[in-house]
Amino acid sequence: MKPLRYILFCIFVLASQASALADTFSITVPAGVEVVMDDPQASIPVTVRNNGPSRDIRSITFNIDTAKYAFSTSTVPPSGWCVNSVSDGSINFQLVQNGGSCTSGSTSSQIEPFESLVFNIGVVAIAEISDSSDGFSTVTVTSQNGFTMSGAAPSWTKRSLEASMTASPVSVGTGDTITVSMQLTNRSTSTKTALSSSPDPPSSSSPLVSAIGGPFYSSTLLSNTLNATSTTINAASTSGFASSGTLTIGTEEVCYSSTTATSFTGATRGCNGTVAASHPSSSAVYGMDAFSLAPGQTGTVIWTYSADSTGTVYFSARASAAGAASPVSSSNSVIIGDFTASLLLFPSSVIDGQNITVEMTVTNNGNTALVNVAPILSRCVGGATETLVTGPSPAFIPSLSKGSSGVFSWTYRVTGQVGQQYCFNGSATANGPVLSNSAASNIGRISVYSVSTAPSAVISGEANVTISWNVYNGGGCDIREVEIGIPSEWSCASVSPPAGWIGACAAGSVSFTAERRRDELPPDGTGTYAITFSAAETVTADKIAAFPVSVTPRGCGGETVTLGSYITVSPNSAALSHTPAGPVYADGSSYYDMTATLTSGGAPLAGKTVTFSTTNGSLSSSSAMTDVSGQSVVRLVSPVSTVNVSSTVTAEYLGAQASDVVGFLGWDRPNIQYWGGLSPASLSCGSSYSFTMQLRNIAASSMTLGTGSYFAFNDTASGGSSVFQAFLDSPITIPAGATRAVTFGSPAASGGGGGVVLEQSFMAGTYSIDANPTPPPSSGLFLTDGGMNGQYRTVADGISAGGVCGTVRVRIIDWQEMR
Amino acid sequence: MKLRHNHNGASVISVVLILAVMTTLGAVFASLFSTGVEEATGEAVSTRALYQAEAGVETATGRLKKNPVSINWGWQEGYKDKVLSGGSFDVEVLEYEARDSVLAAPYSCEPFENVITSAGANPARTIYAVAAWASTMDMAIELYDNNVTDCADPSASANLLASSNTSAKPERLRYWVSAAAPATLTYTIRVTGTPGDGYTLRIAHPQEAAFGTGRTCGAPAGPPYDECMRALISLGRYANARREVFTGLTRNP
Repeated sequence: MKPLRYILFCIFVLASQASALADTFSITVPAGVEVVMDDPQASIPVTVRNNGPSRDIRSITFNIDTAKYAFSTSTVPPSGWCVNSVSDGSINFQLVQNGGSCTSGSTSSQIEPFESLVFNIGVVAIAEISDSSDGFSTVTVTSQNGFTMSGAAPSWTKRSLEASMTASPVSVGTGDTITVSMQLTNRSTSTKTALSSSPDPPSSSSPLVSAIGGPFYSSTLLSNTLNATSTTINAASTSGFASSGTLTIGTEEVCYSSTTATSFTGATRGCNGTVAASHPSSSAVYGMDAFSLAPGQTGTVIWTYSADSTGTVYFSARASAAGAASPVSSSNSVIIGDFTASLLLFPSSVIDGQNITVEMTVTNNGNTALVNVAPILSRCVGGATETLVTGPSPAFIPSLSKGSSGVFSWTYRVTGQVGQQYCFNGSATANGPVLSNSAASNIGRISVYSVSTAPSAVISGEANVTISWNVYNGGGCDIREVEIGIPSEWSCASVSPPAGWIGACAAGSVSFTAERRRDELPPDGTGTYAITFSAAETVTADKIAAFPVSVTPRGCGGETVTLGSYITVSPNSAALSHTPAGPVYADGSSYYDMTATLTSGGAPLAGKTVTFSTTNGSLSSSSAMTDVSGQSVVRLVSPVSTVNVSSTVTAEYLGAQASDVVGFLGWDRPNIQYWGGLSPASLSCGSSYSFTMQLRNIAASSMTLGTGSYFAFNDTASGGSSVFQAFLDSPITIPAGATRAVTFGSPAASGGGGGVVLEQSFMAGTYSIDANPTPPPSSGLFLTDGGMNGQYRTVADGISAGGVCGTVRVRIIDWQEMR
Repeated sequence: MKLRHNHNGASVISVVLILAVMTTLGAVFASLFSTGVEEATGEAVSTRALYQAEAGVETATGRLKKNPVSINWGWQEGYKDKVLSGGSFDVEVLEYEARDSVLAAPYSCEPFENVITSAGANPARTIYAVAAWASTMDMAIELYDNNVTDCADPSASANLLASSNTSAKPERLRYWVSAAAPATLTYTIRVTGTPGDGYTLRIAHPQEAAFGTGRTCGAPAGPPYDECMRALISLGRYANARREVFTGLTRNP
């Protein structure tokens, strides 16, 4: 039996070795993976599968042609894995050991037979002449005497063009126009011509819109009114336009033969079969001549769409050129509806027990004011538990005029297990009743650590930029080291560690380390790690720079966790200011005018759409186009509050962002608000009118309005100087919480009614009726009880004046011949 | 010897006398006729010059009342040698203020602001003040080159530029500002007379900085502000004739 046993043992050993020798692995890359030349954030998701049958993958090396790619030092390994070595042409992953070392020793994170794992491998795709299909040169697994790769080598596509799309405004009414802009950059080494999109125009996610214009290759604004015959088109700037070519202004095409810095000359009006027409100042002017892009250059292509039906839509397309394309780019979503709501929660990554903020933005895209706007918010099923701390703030918005938007905010505490998600659904209501769309927030996730940066955006080439990383420890162990990766284009000048920590500039990263155990970042603690760079990276188009943050705890397995953090670098800069200096009352009617100024290299950017948002109060518009000075203005109407509050307003254009904080004084007196029902709304110049409307006292004490109270509007928006002012017919008391119908039809403060004539000099037009606390000219409501409770209020509905208007009568009051 | 009466010499003398008388009468009539033609021609030319001045007022008024009034009511560039039907006109556009009051003392001071500019075809530089009153007592007006701080002693704070102290009613005063542009000048009209007598004072002058379409004029007198009114001085020309008219305008009924 012994020989037999020996023979069987030998057979077993040989079989085992044969089996071991047959261990294979395979790698795959999802179909359609694309990277863009020179993109520092490019990454290739590679799935590694251990086909077995018996051994484990504990080390894997990817090799690549260095003429085409370089592996990124900021590659983030899968959980439990680490980057053992990295060079331009090779990157090796191994396992994180219990002591924190990176070796091929066995751990639970190894890829066992018939398991697979995704490696997101960061690469820098070296620029070439045109698009190409590429792959790894070799992939090897050397652990446990090696594996053999089976199956076909995967490939992906390297693209020459980079594209990003934005759609604005983010909320529109049916019939309104949506502008879609594609910013594209030529990352290749050759000039690209015949630039367009594929498909052209970009496809919409749903058939709620129809394309009405484009592609346009540049845009600006008329700097003054253009009549139908002028052969010179004065504009804010001709930068970016062809030296001769074709413009689109409204439905008219204009062919021009030359340009100056601020005009198109030698214009043929109504060319290409269109009809010449006059156009008001600040009308959008689009260039129709396709441009070419030299290597590194950036351009913008624009399309316009009509919002036809209610719903949510976004746009997708590739940038395309001869022999080149970009990956598919999708825009932000646009909500179409007369009354819309959108939800945003932040931060989207928290630790157990951390507070989050939920904001609902409501927008009135309809033709009449919305009164008594209130939010409805519900938690969705994400696994985590959201507990209300405060909110909504404000509880309601008294009125939203046409085109304006407001914000409600809540604070919630999120609890749960790591990996559990949190999110919200919501909508808004207003008197009528009317109901907004149902909105869903972004989804947040509970994690062990969180990191945030301040600022989140910087200006290209800005000197001495300091960026702070706030690291929150939501784990059970102290954090002893924080390492922040730095892109090669950035140069660290100095560091500012928290007290008891040390750090120093180094190439590629900055490592912060606690000097003593007691200085380590404890659970539930926050540390701020700041780095000052000698200058921000210089870019010609918006770029998101990655600064991976690696957090290493003491204990808890010692595993380093890498978190993503990103800084937007923009060639444009934005500034935001407000008038008056404030503070103004938090009475639901007082306001600030917020002015955003866009520049690029110090020169104003005209004709660009700036997006505005606020943390409190309501905005007259969520977006506005810059004028010839690069400025756009929106109005921030105060929230209603009996205590002092503030609001942070943010203006954004692509990667450029600016914020401004304004203050509001609590209003603790009777508070009378316009509550809808303005009648009449259409007026004929020369006729006499009495106006009725509903007023509501939203405060806790009553107020008796005297006949010195008035309702007024003026035509200054049309360049006129006429004012309509009607006083209250008779005194009326409005108790706390009550709504009353009132009539303003008296020519004088003595009341009595009888109607007030709308002068024929009043300019025809449609006017909003904003409060003016510093008349003249009078506008809105002035409500007084003859005492200390006088208040100016906005009437959220507008009026329209027509008929024989704008007749300026001049009377001779003196005539004499001079001798 | 018989005397013979011969009447031939008398006839000759008569004829000569008649011819002389007729010649004289002819010359006189011819002279009279010639003068009448000349006078009629001059009046027609002068009238045409007046028409030119009136046309200047109409043209400038039309310009001032164009829409939007917020822009055009502030137009002050004026016209210079604007040709029309064989003649021409100049128009100067001024601010027009009513500073009516009652003399609380033997004098009253009315300061007003003037922005002197070089912009336009005919930049405003004229100050034209007219004072009228109902009283039988006389009044006079004076123009000073600054804000008179003590109306009892105007020379302490300003220099007298012009005055009108006649027996006529109303008193008129016209002054051309020669200061280099740009300049913002405050002048003062001083009215003198008998305390208790009311007067109407109209001042046309280069417009103040705050001139607009609202009731914001009157600087530096302060509130209550006056409506921002306009005045035009239009000089019409036709051949060698000159006629000039003054017009005050308001936009409100």
